[in-house]
Order: sequence, then structure tokens, then C-alpha cells
Amino acid sequence: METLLLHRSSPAAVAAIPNPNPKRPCCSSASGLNPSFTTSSNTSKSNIDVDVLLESFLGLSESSIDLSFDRILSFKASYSEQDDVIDRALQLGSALVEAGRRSARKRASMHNGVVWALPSDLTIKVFSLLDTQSLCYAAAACSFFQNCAADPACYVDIDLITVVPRVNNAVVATMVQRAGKVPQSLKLGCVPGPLASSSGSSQPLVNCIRKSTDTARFSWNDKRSRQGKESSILTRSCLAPLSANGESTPGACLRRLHLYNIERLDSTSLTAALSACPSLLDLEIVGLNVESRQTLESISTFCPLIERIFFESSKTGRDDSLKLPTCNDLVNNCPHLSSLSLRGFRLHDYKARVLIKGFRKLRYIDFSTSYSITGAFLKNLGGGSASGSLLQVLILRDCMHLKEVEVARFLEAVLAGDFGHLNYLDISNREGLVSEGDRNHRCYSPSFIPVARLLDERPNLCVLAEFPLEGSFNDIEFDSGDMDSEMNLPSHLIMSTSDSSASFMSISESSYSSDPSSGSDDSSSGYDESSDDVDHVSI
Amino acid sequence: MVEDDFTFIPLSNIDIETLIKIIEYMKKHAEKTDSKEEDIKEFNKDFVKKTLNELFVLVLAANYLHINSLMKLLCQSIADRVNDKTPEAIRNIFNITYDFTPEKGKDY
Repeated sequence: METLLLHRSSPAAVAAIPNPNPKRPCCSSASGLNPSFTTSSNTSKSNIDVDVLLESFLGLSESSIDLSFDRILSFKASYSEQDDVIDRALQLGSALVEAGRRSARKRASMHNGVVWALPSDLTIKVFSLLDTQSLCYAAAACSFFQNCAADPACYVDIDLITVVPRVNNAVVATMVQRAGKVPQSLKLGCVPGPLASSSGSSQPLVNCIRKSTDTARFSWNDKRSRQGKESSILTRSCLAPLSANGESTPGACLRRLHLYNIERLDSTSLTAALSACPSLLDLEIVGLNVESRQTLESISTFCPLIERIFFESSKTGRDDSLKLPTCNDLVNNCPHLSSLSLRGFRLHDYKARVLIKGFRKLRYIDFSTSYSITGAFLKNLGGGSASGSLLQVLILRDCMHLKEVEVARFLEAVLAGDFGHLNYLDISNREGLVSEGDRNHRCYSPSFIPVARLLDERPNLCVLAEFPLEGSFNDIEFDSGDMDSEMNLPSHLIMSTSDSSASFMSISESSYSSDPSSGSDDSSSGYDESSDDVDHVSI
Repeated sequence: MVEDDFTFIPLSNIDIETLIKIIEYMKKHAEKTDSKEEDIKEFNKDFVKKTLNELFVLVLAANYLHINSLMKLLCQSIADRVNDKTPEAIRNIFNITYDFTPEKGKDY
């Protein structure tokens, strides 16, 4: 009697059932069919036999398979034979399922090919216009998209900024890797709330949540407080992929690097990353725990082509690390710098002066929320020599120690013809400017600004001097900081002061009053809250 | 072939409707002068209000004819339709079926 030979053939033979491999003899499955199957030498005949067999099998109903299987099992003499039968059934069953799924996928892909009529090169073109998040979603839609999305052309601008931390190192690594040698722009980190455009907004973008041990909470406006979360998933080595791969580092073409609130990133890693990006043109760092000195040193060493630097400190006012040699190095090594923003650092006048005088192409300066800066650096800055005269924008918003007298003097210089290109000046200050003489007295009125003369002689100049009071911040958005964009501002003088009430936002004393005075001669150790007579000039 | 004052250029890949649309686009852009910038922007916006299939056919035609500005416009409009959508939504809009093996790609 021809016993049912259920030898364990290799899985390849099993899988060969739908695609019969003529070299392997097929074994029969545990079906109710008569196993009159011969391993004949005629291979095509055996293929046909298999096909016939399978087709008949597919014609069976499930219940008949069920019953037949049970019958066969019952005829088996030993347990091991029964085990064999069961194992074979499971194996072949899953093989059939796999075959069915594979074909289903093929059909789905073919259907997709009809429905999405573009070939891969055009699809890649479309994908290169997508933002990074949408690109990933598209890649998850079907396999064709996934293949197209893996093309480096789609990763020229990698934007991984999220509102809550969702991106981790592995993601960054994958993206950079996919981008091959092509990435030109990398933006990373968390920016809470609606993302302000990465240039030009004068609101602080710094993440304000601190651990409980750190008491100096700094929050400008409680209503719109930008309370973000730490991007705890992005660790120190998140920028490591930029310097990977030995010679052909992905960072080599990187032109723009923006990092927001990556608290774990430290100076060493940042330096390593910067060393891999010699073509860097635009560096924006907000809320990182790195010392400004080290970062600027790295820049001057590794990124000589840099044109825009934007730093916003996470330790507002307490980062005092910027030293004169660093400024000198920076000035000497980075001659192309045209936009410099150092917000929230302790910046002394002489250092500011070195910076401004040193950068010949400097057009945009933003030293908002800087401590210790009084404006003295503006003296005699614009005359004659090339430096300072290309300056188009000067922002000194909320500089605590900025003196009214210095600003007035600066404006005189402007009227006298210096700073010919200046077209935007912002000296708004939540706390008013420091008045002459009495350092406890703040000046809240813009009356020192010679409006009429400015209107006459410098009609292109826009001066913003908002002095406090209640949150009526004028959000002037302008396109600045990019390498060669001109300022498009109205050609009349804008002056505004907020009106009426004398109650201003109470800022916690700790944010700037008790600074250990390390050489700063202007630290106002306190001020009268509301008993000053506040002049309001509405124009 | 040149006969008298006109030339035949066989375009086997493009059907007549698509060609008409392309000619419409080219005519509009040929009369571009500075004062008509707004006009052209409006035209562009209306031009891309087409069904997906029409857009696909147009892209293929523009690609074949190497019309870069039209290509850019069309690719951008398709990209706008893909942008900011979850994979599910993308599949719905474009009628794409899921065809991954069990190890799917990662999505963020």
C-alpha cells in the first residue's frame, strides 16, 4: 500500500507549491485527495500535477478540509506520526497564507501604480517639496512611497522641530543618513507654542521650565508664557551623525543649523558637530546649556564662512563667559558675518564694540535682553570707517541697563549722517531706560527722541520705542537675519508708547536685581515700582 | 517635417486635452510683464484646481516637454495635497492600498 509519505521536506519545497520548482519533488499535503502522485522525471508534468493538486485543494470547502484532516489523524498509528501530520499541516498552512499575502501585496502595488501615475523620479520631485513630517507620513502610506521617500533629494531641508519632544536621536540619525551628502539645513529641537519664524521675532524663544532646584524662573508675559518641555529624548549625541562617516561627512554641505531647547546638548558635542560643518552659514541656537564662549570659539575655528549667528541664552543674563579674546578671534576668523544676535547674555560695552567694529559686513544686530550693556558702545561707532556703516538694523530691546542718554547721543549721530543705512532701530524696554544720574530712576517716555528732525532727515528710519505697560507689544515681524535680504519697512517713523494705566507686569525681582556684580558698573539693584511719575506721550 | 509655413511635431505621449491645457498655460505665461504678476498668480491658482488624475497627466506631459515652470507649479500643487496628512488620509485621498510586509516602515 502506498503509504502517505510525509517526509519533512525542506520549506523551500513547500513554498514551491505556488511557484513550482521543477528540481524538487513535491510532497502531498494532508488533504482528502488520493495521493496518486508520482515524482516523475518529467518536470513539467510534475509542475502541472502540483498546480492541479493545489487548485483542487483550493476548491475544497473549509469544513471538508477539517473533517478530512481529523479522519487522517485518526488513522495514524503512533503519536509521532500524528505529530508529523499536524506539523506539516501547520507548515503548509502558513506557507499558503504567506503566498496569498504576497500576491495580495503585489496586486495592491499594481493598483497603486495605476492610481498614482507618476514614475519614481517625478514622485521624488514632489516629495522633495514636502516638509519632513509629511514626508514620513507619506513614506508610511505604501511601499512605493517609502522607496521614493528614501531618496536623498527629499532630505535637503530636515526640519525636526516639534512642539513636544517626540524626536529622538535615532530619528535624527536616520534622517541624516538618508540625506547622504546632501543636507543643507537641519533644524532640531522643541519650540513650544506656535512656531515663530526662525528669524526676526523679538519674543524670547527660550524654554522656561526648569527643574525645581532652579529658582530663577523667567517668564516675560504670563499670559503667553512659553512653557515648553525639555526635549529629553534628544541627548548629547544627537548631532553625532553629522560627523559620521569619516571623510564624506553629511555635515560637509550643511548650511543651516537651528537648535532649540535641547537641554542635554553640551559644549563638547556641539563643538564636535560644528567641526563637521565647515560650510555652515547660519547657526541659530536657542536655549542650549552651552557656554557662549566655547560656542563662539568653535565657530571661529571651524566655520569661517558663517554669515548669521543667533544665540539666545537659557540662563538669561547670567552667561558671562564671553571674553574679549573670543570676540577678537571671532572677528578675525569670520569676516563674512552679516547678522549677529546675542540675546540674554551679559555683554559689556567694550566687547560689543569690538564685535561691531570688527565685522565689516555686519548689517543686523540684535542684543536684546542683554545685561550690562549701556549703549556706550554706540559712541563714535559709525563715523568714517567702514565698520558700522553698513548697519541696517539695530535691536536693543529690553536691555536692562541701556541708558537713555546713550540712545539720545546715538540718535544725534544718526541725524548727523552716520549709519547711513540704518533703517530700523528698536529700543523698546519693558522697564524703561536708565535715566541720567539717578540709577534707580527709569525713564519711560520717549521724549528724548527728536522725532521731527528724524522724520525730516531720515525718513527711511523706523524707530520702535515701546515703553511699558501692559503687554501691548508690537509684534513687528520682519524678514531679517537671512543673508542678503533687504529690509522692507515703512518709510515713516513709528513711535508708540502704550497708554494709560500705570500698573505694569510685576517681574520677579530675582531675574535681574541681585546679580553678583562682577565688574558691571551699572547694575541697578532695585527700582521703584509704581511711584514714579510716568510720562506718557502719545504721538 | 517642414511644409510651407508649419511644422509637424508628433507628440505620441500627450492627448489632446492635456495639450490644450498646456497651451493655455504657455499663452498666459508668454504675456507676462511686471504689471501682470497678480494676474498670473490668480491664473496659476485656478489652473491647479483640477482633479488628481488631470494633474498627473499634466505633470507627465510637462515633464516630457521639459516645461520647468509648469512642472514646478504642478509638483507644488500635488505636494500641497500630500502635505500635513496622516498616512491614512493619504491613502484615502489618493486611493492607495496598504501594501507593506509585516515590518512596516517607521513613522514619526
